Amino acid sequence: MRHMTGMLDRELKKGSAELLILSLLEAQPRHGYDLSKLIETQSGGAIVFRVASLYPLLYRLEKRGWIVGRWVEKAGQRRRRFYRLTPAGAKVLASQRDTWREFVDAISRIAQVDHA
Amino acid sequence: MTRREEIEQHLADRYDELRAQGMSDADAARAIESERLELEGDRGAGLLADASGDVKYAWRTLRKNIGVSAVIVLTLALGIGANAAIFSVINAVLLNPLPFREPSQLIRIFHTYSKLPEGIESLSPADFYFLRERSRALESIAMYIAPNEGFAFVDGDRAMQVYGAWTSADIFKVLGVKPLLGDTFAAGDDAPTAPRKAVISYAFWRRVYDGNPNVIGRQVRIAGQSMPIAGVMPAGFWYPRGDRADVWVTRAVAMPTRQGPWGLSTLARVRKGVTPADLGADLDAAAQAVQKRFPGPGERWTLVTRPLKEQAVRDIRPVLLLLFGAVAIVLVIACVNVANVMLARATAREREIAVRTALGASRARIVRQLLTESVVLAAIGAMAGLAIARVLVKTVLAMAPQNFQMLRDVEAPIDGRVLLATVAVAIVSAAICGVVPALVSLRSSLSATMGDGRSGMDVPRRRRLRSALVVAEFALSLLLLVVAGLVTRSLLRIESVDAGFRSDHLLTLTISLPSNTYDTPQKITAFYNRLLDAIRRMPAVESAALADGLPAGFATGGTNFHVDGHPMANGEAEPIAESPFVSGAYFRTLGIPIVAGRTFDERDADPKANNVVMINRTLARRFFGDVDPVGRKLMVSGNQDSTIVGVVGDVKYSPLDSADPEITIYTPFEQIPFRVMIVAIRTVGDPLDLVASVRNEVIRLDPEVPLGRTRTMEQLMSDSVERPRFRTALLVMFAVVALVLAAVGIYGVMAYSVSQRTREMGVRLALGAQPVDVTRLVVGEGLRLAIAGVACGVAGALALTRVLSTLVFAISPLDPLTFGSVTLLLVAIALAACLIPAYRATRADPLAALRAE
Repeated sequence: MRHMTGMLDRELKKGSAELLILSLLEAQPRHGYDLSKLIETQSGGAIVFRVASLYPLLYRLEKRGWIVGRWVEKAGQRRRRFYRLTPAGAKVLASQRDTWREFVDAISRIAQVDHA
Repeated sequence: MTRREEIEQHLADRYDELRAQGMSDADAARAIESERLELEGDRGAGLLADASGDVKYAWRTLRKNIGVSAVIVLTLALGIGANAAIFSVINAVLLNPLPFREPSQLIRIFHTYSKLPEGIESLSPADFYFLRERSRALESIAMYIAPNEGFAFVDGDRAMQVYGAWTSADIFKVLGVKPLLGDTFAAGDDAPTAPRKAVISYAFWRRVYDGNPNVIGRQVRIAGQSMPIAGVMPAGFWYPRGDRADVWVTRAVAMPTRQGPWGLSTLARVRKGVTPADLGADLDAAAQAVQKRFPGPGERWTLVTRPLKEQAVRDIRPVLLLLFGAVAIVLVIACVNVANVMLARATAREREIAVRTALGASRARIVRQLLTESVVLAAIGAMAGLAIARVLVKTVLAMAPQNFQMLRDVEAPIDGRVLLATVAVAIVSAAICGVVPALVSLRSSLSATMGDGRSGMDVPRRRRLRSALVVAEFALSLLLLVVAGLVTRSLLRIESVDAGFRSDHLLTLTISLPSNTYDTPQKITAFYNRLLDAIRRMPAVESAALADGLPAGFATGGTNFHVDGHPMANGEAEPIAESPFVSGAYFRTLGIPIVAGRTFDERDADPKANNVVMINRTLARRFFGDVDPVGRKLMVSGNQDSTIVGVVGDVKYSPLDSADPEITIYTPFEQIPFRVMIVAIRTVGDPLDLVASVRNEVIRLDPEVPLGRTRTMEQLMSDSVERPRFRTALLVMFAVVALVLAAVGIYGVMAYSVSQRTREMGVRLALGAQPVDVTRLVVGEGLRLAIAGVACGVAGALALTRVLSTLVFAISPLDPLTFGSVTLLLVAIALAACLIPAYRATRADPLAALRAE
């Protein structure tokens, strides 16, 4: 059983990190630092991505074709790499949202935490 | 490249923001650097491809925790160093071939028959003669005698005592060693009519002749016979005795006229392709020829062989293997300690590992990283260990007893094989230290949450593993301490053996008279009597006497005997007694009590007078019971009837650690005067003050008589326990290292456990627990581990009783004093090691703890 919970745990965390990134890219393209700041502030500091966590994830998502990065240069600034959601990524996001919602609902029903 | 640029951009943004929030430049830079560090470790995620990434990352991680890393490296260095040192000695002595041509073909040949207590004994001239004449299986054969007392060596006006061997002509041919200068012996040099020749060792050539090449052909007198120096052997040639290789002198091999006497050492080279069965049949044929030529009473005997190597390392082998076992235990304890530290550290790094795992770093990837760290540690430890080994090898060899010839003579360099073995040991240690913590931390790292700022909980599983490691450590330490304790107690027992005489204020010196000038018993007796008279007149001398051997392992030999009127039943072997030849003042000089009868005097000095002997108390009791033995007769050496004139107290002539009691027959030295005798002098003051005047007296009497070894009896007694002392000193040394490591180990575990439970301790204190309760909690936990370890160790020692019984003298292998004190010592060490963490636990701040909750 220990093994099973470990697996679930791992999938869960991995999935949630992907979901966060995809969600934040849904509205507009963003660069990596922007993403990490948003996650930290919007989660109230509960979730922190450091470079060693963030970029491997971004590259993995890019490799799967869910997001795509592009260098953008603006006058007077160093160039940055902006990521945007691909159509494939949008589909994944939708399905992950559903899965997540179902999952949270299920947990909440069992654990009766929805009123908390 | 673009990835690096992107991340550098990110880090620059981060830095700017931190500065904008008011952080100092240094702090912001440090924050950035720490992120970059994490990044470089994650090569597997494909961020910054760098071939040496793992090692670099490991190096940085280790440098960040320089204190812990230093402890780990030092611990491993001690374990690896001790192993490398003992292994390089084992390599040089046991593994490397002997420095002779095709050494695997070399054998020693012995006699054996069923009643022989030692199993094998040396050959007689008849055996040697027949083997040399008849054997087809042997390519060459040589015999030698290495007299303990050495030879008188005279070159011009220089007289000295030298050591070496009488040999037959072929000894160098058998060994396949060529001379450095001149020649060795030629076939026929040992014919009875051939002139004698000498070959000298390299060391002797340098010492006595300053390495002068003109020494070849120089005439010298050895043991009274004139002969030329035929050759100089190369450096490092030592056979048969490394500590005493000065000269080799040819000895005549004549057609024997009887089967005995025994006492020839025999060395042979087996022809290539000869099977053991062929060799056995060949030796049997020779043995039968001897028995046919010299038929005698008693059981049929046979010839047996032993590899030369086996014989050469017979004494040293068990000691080296024992020490190897000891250092192996030290290494295991060291590894257990390091594994424990790594485990604790893995716990502290749980979050790092959790993040990486969550980001998709594979299990193998993380294990590899943790393993790389322990390999880097082990590599540094191994290098430091080799440095320790160099020093340790020197120390071990310098401590080696004189009579461990293989050790005294050997150089134990750190060669390829030692390096290879050390690398192997380091890799295995790294695996032990790294894999277990890596696997354990992987299993639980996933339970730590990503956003949780606290480090992971101390998983009970892991705590159990750490506890088990401490228990194992204590068990092994106990085992090693018990062994060290047993040999120490045995050594003390040996040293306090009552040898039956007073060893203080006794000077001994060996004198060997040249045979050409002292060619009759009268001349020998006259010289010694004049010398004794002169010595007795010296002011600081209480008494002086002669003997051909000394107690405590310096005896010269035994004789067989039976009580007159009680011959042995057919086939029964006669008892053998120690048989020193002594002058009448011997007993007074050594302080041996005369129990009945009298000592030897002028009446016994005439060789034509009736033979008389004195016996010791044990012989009297065993063979005469309640009857007064004085006046009764012994048949000594088969048929020589001797009247017993006195009974003296028991004296130990065999080595001090041999079984007692023994039987002794004393004979007046005048009856068979030997040229080589020991003068024993009881002095009033320091015995060594007398050496110069005795030396002058010998020169005044005869300038050609060399003065041999001059030692006080106390020095001799100390020499006689050199081997047990050597073994004991090294075992105690390694046991102390093990003890220190075990103490560090339990301290580390308790300190870590307390630091993990600060919150719990704080809460306990806040809820009204007294500091003494918290102390009891911590100390109790530590003591439970220590006691469990000690119990396991005692169980292990009980299982090893048979091995332990080979190490002890006059105590039980389960000596309660040793076991008791070692147990107490370990528990006390554990207690001390737990008190510091316990004290720290009592200082846990209840408020801080509650706030954290």
